[in-house]
Amino acid sequence: MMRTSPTPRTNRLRDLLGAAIVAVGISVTLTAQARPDSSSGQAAPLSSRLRGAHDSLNRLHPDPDSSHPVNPTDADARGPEEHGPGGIHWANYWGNYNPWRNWNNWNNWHNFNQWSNF
Amino acid sequence: MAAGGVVELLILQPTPFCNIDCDYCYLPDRGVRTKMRPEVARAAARQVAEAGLLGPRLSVVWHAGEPLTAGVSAFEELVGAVNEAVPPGTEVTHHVQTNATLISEPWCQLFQRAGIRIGVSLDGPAFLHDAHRRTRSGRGTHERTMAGVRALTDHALTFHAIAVLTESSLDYPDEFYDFFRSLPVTLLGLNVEEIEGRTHRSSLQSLSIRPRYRRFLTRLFQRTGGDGFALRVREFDSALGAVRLSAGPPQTVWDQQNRPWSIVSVDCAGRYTTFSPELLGLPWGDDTFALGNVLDTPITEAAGSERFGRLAREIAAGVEACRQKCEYFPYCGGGAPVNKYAENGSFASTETLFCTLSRKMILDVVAEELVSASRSRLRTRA
Repeated sequence: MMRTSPTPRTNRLRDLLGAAIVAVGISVTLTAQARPDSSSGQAAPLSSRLRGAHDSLNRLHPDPDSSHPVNPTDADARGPEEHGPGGIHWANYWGNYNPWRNWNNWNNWHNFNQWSNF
Repeated sequence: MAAGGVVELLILQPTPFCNIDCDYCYLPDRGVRTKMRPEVARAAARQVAEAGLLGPRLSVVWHAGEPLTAGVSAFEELVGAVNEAVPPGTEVTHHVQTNATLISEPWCQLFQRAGIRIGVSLDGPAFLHDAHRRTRSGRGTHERTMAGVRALTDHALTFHAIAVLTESSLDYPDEFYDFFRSLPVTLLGLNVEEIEGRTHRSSLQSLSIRPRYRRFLTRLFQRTGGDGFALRVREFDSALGAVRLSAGPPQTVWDQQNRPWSIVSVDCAGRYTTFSPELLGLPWGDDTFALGNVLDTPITEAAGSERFGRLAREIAAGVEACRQKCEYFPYCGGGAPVNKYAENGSFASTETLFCTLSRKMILDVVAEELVSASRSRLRTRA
């Protein structure tokens, strides 16, 4: 059976489809390359994420160094509001908080991989 | 002296021998039964003192092998030798990191007598612990470790726990948390299975593991927070500290592992090095990372050597590269040299599996969970 050659319209459609596929392919490739090489795949810079986390922390519970320090013995008296949604009970955390010096410094803490010292 | 600063951590290896055979252990020579002699322990403390590197406090950590295999009386002699050599004005605290399988009445008495602080290596419930922490004949060690934990508890000795996370752990955050919550442990450290020493791969190294690891961390953070942080997890505390730090004036934390002479590590024969303690057992070209022997090489001499200079320069280059390239640097301090060397083949390098899992992802999870909890509160109020 004799094969018919494609019409000019079919050719244009095929060219357009081909170009679109190439464009999508390049776009996907560029997007993948542009994705931050981060452990988390988070788009926002760490500094802004940490600022957001800090604001959240203050909303969940004020900083103990602020003008509203938390007395851990008041934890139960404060009621559910202080326990915060998301199931996080902050009073005990702040009550026992060790002033943080650096990632590898933790009071009374030693091990062979994460060196710490006081 | 050239070293500068003070030694904060003196790591002493009473013996390289370990009575168990964890499959992820990076330490070489775990079958070697050599023991440190008291004169070596004494010389180690004396060298640090004579180098002018003692501050008001010194932590001595007995580790790098199972320290309790040294035996109670020999161990007490080593502790005494260190105490004798440290001049007044420096408060010495001794620590052991132990698998707890050999803890007995005499050990508990020594811990009490000498005020020794105890860390127990424990990976969680038996099915997680025994998956990796086994004897040389392949039997699980959980039961024996728990017997040691009970002995500590019976003597009212407090201790912290360190758990190694492997792929086996990742699907069981609740079981993991419930187990540690049931113990008289208030401090828990998470060590990831690392690539270093004799360990050339980690069950956590595949990128496909990351979502499961993240879910594990997320659930663990939710459980610890939900319990009012009754069980404190070192990594979460550190990350929460970083969150607080982020609101203050710009500053960078530092890491003892990449600061010369913050840590001095001495093996049972007296060979010593600084920076990451694990370096002491690794080859460096045709040589090792030992910078001398406490019996005959003053630290001041080692600190002026070409080898130390080269090591310090390469490590500093790696820290600087982290500073230039990594947004996590202000909260990390430039990473662990031994992981860079083991994973990347060079100290003058940056990202490692260790920093991804133990720094970056921890910070990511804690930051995300805080925002999520805050939004949840706003919705509740609305």
